[in-house]
Amino acid sequence: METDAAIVRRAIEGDERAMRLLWNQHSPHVDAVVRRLAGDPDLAEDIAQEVWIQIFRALPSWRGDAKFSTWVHRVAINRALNALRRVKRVAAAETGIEEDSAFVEQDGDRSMLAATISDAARRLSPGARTVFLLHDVEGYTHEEIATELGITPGGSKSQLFKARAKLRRLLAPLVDVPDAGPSERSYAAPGY
Amino acid sequence: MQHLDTERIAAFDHEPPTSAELAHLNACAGCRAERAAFDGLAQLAAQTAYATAPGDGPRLTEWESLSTVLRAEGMLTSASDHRVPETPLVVRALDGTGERIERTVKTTRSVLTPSVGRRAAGMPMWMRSAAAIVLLAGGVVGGRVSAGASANPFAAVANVGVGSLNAGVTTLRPASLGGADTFASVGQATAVLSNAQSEYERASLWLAANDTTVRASDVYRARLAALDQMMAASRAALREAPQDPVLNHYYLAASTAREATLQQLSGALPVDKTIEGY
Repeated sequence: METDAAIVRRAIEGDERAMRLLWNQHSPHVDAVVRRLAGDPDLAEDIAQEVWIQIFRALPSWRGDAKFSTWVHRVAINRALNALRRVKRVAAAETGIEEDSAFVEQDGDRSMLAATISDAARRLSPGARTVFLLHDVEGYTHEEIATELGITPGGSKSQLFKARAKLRRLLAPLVDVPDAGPSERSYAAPGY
Repeated sequence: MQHLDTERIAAFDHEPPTSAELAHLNACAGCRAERAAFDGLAQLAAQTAYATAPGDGPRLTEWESLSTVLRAEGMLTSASDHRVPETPLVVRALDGTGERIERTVKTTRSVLTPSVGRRAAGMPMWMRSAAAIVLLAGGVVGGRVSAGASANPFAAVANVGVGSLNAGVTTLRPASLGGADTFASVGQATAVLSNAQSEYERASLWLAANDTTVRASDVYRARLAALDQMMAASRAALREAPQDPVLNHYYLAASTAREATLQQLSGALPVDKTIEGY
């Protein structure tokens, strides 16, 4: 079986089969990243192709010191943020958080979980959603987020805590601890 | 008893609870449960990063559309699979200002005239012309690189030229060319440009006649295809600004380079191709 390094090498040389193979293998994952960050299906569709072009353009920078899928993941995040920055969706980072409620079903399956968190995150303001996804999902530091989004680390923290509070409420059925005793707080979502 | 603020609990992993808050947590099951819930949320979030969600619908990209753009930008060069979509591509993209654009891209079947990709179709004419100019400059680099040991002779061309195609982040000057404030006037810059133009043409023609180090026909074909696009972009721009000296310079240069490339290919123009008049 051909290694990632060999496939990437051929792709850098312009081999269509290699490029298509990489696209075929990684597009579900890249799509998931783009969809999460975009938060809007139409916008995700608009920027996905650009993200892929940027991935192919950046191929020579992959040194093989990280798994290729990890590298693609990181590049996809970075390029999606670039595209989103252009449409100034992220510029609304300081706006308030919507006060919607959400219905979520409990499911232990990891992929279902991804869908659930992504769905819930769409209820956040674009800025809060982006900060939450970058910090809690992708593991970025506040300094990195501040650089990416053009905000301060303090602003990033503030958005994160607001986003968490909102998501904690939206995802109450998933994150509430059953035997923690009665709580005077109420986060019940419809149907919970 | 006053509960701890929800956002404050959400921040405990960043700013640990004070002694007073700890005392409250010890006494309040509700706030402890709240803290546990935030821990659970953090764990769920961390598990999400590499998961794909089911039911997200079809892929966001189609290979046919993507490969068209990759080929137009010079990243996809394998000649084994130059399929072109039978039907025009409807492409969607964001322009430099973030506005959504959608248009139909008609493709051709000529190997020497790669189809115009989605990004090129979405660019304003001035940007396409500018891209052509940079690509032309990159051609010199590409030609020299191709004479060396690089396994990817057109990488230099692609890297320089494609960079300018990035709508919204248009960089027309490679960093190695220095700052933009090195000329005293437009006249001086134009004179330098004109001189460089002449030198380029002279060197290009000389190389065509004397350079025996490169005989890779695929490289020449790729170069020729790029030059065809550059000429088309310049020609279209000249319809809008026929007297513009910069556009005229580069149209001529592209034409000259094309002629030189044809000589290197030792081939004649395809029957359906003609050299455009100046």
